[in-house]
Amino acid sequence: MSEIDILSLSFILSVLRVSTPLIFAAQAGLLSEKSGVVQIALEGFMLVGAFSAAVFAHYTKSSHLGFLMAFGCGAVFSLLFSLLVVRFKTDAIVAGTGFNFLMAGLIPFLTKFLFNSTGSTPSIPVEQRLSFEVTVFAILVVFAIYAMMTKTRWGYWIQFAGEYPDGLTACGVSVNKVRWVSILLCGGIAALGGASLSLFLSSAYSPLMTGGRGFIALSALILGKWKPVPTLIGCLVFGTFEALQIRLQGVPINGVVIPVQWIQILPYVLTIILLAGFFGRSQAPAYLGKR
Amino acid sequence: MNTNIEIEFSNVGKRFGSLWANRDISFSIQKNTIHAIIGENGAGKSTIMKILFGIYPADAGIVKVGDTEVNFQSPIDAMKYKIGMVHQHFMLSPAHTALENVLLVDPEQKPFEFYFKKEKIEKIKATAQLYKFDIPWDTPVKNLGVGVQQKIEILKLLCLDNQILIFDEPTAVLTPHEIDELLNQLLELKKQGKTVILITHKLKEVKRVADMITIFRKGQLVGSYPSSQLDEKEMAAKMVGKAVSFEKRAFERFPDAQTVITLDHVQFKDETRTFNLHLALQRGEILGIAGIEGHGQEKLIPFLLNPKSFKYSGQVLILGRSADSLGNRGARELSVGVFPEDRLRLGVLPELKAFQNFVLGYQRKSHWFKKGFIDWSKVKTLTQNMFDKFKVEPNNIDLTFQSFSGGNQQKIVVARELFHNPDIIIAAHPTRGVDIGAIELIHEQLIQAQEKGKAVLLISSELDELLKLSDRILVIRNGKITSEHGRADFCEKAIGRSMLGVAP
Amino acid sequence: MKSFLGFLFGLFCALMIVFIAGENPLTILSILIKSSFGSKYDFGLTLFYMTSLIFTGLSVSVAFKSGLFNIGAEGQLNFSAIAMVSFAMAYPQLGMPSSLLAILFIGVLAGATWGALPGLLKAYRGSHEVIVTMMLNFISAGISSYLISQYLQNPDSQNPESAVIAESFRTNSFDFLNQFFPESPVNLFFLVSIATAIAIHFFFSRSAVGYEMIAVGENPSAAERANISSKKFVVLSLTLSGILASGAAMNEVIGYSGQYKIGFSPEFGFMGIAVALMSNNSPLGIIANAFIMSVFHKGASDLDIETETITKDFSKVIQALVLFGVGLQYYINKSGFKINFPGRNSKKKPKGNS
Repeated sequence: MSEIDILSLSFILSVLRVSTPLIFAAQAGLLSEKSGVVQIALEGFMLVGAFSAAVFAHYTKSSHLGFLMAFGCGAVFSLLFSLLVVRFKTDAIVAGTGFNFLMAGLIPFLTKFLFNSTGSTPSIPVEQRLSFEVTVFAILVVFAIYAMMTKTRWGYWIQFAGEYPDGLTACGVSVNKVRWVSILLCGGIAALGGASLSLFLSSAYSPLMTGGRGFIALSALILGKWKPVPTLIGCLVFGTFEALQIRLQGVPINGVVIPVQWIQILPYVLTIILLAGFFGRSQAPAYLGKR
Repeated sequence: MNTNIEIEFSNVGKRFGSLWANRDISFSIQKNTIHAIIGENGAGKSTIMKILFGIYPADAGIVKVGDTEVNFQSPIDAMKYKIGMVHQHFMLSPAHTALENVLLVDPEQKPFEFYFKKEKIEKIKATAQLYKFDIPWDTPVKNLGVGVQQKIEILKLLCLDNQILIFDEPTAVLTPHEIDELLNQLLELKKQGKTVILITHKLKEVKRVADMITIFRKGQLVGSYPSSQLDEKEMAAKMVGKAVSFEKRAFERFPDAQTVITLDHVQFKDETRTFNLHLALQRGEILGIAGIEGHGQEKLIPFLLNPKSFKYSGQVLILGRSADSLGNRGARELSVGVFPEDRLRLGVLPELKAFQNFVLGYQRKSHWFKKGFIDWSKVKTLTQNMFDKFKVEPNNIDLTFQSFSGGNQQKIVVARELFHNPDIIIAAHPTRGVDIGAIELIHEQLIQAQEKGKAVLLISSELDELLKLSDRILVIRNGKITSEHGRADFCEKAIGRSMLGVAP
Repeated sequence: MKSFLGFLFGLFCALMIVFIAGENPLTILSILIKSSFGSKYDFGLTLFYMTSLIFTGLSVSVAFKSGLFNIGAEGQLNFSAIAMVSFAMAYPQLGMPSSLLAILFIGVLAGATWGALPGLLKAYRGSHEVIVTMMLNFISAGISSYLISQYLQNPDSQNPESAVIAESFRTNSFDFLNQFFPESPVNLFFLVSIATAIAIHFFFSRSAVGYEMIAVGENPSAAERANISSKKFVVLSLTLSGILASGAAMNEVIGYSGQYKIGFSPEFGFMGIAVALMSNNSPLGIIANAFIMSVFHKGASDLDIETETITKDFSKVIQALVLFGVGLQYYINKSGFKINFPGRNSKKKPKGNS
């Protein structure tokens, strides 16, 4: 097989498949960043989700239940993040870095504790793996967030918390409350991204299986200018790269094999180029990361 | 029990560290009146209102709203008692439209509700009409003038059906015309049955609208008076604690003055407008620059400091050097001192110590700089000397800059800039946010510099300050110099009209 | 040492987790200590980690000083290491003094490039340095993996690693420090790292350039007014940051193994963040905290073997909790309750009262 038909249905499906975790994570990041909290802990939340989904799916024998529990676990762990960032005003980048560390360290500890393994969870039977209903759900989440952000009072609270928090306080709404809830949803939804990794893209949790997807999601968010639908498109673009990389592994094009690493680093290079403003300036929420 | 009392303070106190910002404050505010609270910067007038609005909790005493004793922990608590505040800095999101900003307020604040409810929008527009507010609803706030922004702020409070409205220095950012409009609106609010509290230090306005006046000085209450009982002079005397002279200083001109700054038909552009400047600054004079806030007078400072960083036409001469011949450091290579227009943002490193701030901008001067290194022990000695000379309080050069009060911060900046004995002093709002003692010291310094034959360019939004100090006043409107006024024929009205762009 | 309490808090939490998992915290502590100081070899390994952590800690703190968050020390040291190995492989015949100078130069240059890139993008295109340095981490990992798999793979090994570079590029032959710690990887670069920390200390406390760099970090607009170009210093400080990170690569490649092994750095770049924050960016504090961190890192690998439940990744948990603890410490210092240090911050006045 020397040619790849990138318009084939199977390729499009594989793009949708690998994009799914990114879509969840990027929308999660959007909720947090729109409310003014820099979110570089997406990677950590995804790890929580991937792990807890696999664990609960293993014990309950139900992948759907595992998927749901991932949301719960992500939300619960987000409380720790909020406690630090919202309540104690810790720098969100510091807390986020710490959070990623914590999850990378804690999960191996838990796998050893629960399964006496070196970092993986037992696989669920292949027939229990989730399927494209997850992708459909992810896209529904995008439109739900779009509707919430632009039509509802709550969405505007989030926007003001990121644009001019003092203005929100002056209207009698607690900025901290808005941020607590935003981060709670962010943790839960990002964890769903992780869950789709361990229950949809594969059938178990393996060590550090997020592989930087949290940061790719963040890039998609920035490229999508903090808007739900453009962010979704950003995720699909990065998903296409990932799908291409899987397809092109060892496959020659016109007799030349493209090294897999080149395709691996392509999204990162692309992000830097786009960030450098050759794609128009991004409009970050005005109070993002400020206190 | 007087049923007409809306708010009552009894022995209220507030402490920051060991310093009492308010102490033993007791007074009351009547229903449906305009109550002015006046005092110098740092007198504690804002603090007491921030206690009432729940921004700071009180450390002592009792606050009563109506008959209930209250202890607000946040503005949200205060709002439940129908208290609203128009802040000096507007609480508006610049990225959102006027309508979106007003819609944010809602007495019920149900989170899961359609944001753009038709009946709500209609109600807002009706309220705006009732108070004769003309607001472009769909324009982002960042594209609106301050006057309109303030109206949006007031409208927000009215939509919450607030009964008590606090205005914190509302006229500071307005043009004379807008001030007029605002004062009429305050009277209108009173007519509609609201209680208005006006924090200000502008006595004319107080005299015009207030029913009662409460005066603060140095964190203490001086007293409450019906406005009919006091005239402006008496108010000022009570604010300052001694009789205040409204006299202008003696005017003296140096005959063979040499020109130190020449702007010869200079034209340049920034993001907002085109500047046309033609002026000359001479040794031994204080040249005042007047203008309504935001009309580009502050842009003069970065321009004069480094003309080359702008694309300009015309000729710029500074201390005899053409701007083109200056190096990358621009006019800073020459003997120029600057009191920046925004001290904390442009002049200092707030979290570093006072002595570390003393070298900022002069870190490579030979007094302390040698072979790439700074001799900090020398800097400390020199800073200490200047602290003694300028009576900076507390007299401790190891404190961080931000821990000093506004007046002392400005003293440190002034000391730093005057230390190198500059030939030209560019002083922007030299007494903004500065207490009265420091104001006198800073004014004295400027006059002394002038007497020594230095040239002073004084940019200020306080017309009184300009009238007191300047030999000449230039009015800048929309980036252009529109008129010049010599000291002999200073006329406040004429200058005011020129600032507004109204033909005399 | 203000952040030391934060550190203790983090340690306490970590031990609590261990306790909940059914281990005796005291046993854990004793394993940690034995593992780090138990033998000359162990102690040498601890110092070896410490060397890299001093370099990455300094790297992160220099960026912090000018208001930037360099999350990319990992990529910088990685790129520096692969560049040095590639160079040594390309010119194996170079003779002694020039070979060593050349490889040092290449290492510094590579680190500087990987630091300057985000600096330039930040200064001239406004790209956020956190994202760019993060992306560069992934890119340098990709480049190394590519170079190893395509050109440099050690034929005698199953692991993804390069062949060993020629002796002339390494310091082993005259390394007097290493001789005190037989078999262990600690090397001359330990002394270099200490000297660098002291040099950075004087750079910030005495030199005008250091002062200007701090000024840019504290208040870029005021610095601009004082004719300190914030753009220039953004580039300069991230470049310096990259150079410092390359020290960790030299510690591995020139000082110790002479080869590039994928995964040779157990995320020293990220551990440097914790070290820098614990030390409140004080270069001398970094020496102390790098030591503490290296003790944990060394100890955690033995905990993996000697206990039932704890894995070698556990040092990450400790680091995370230390980061949280240090963050909380800042909060306590700022809001000024509970712990007040005599004579300091006693007269802070909240902003905005007039």
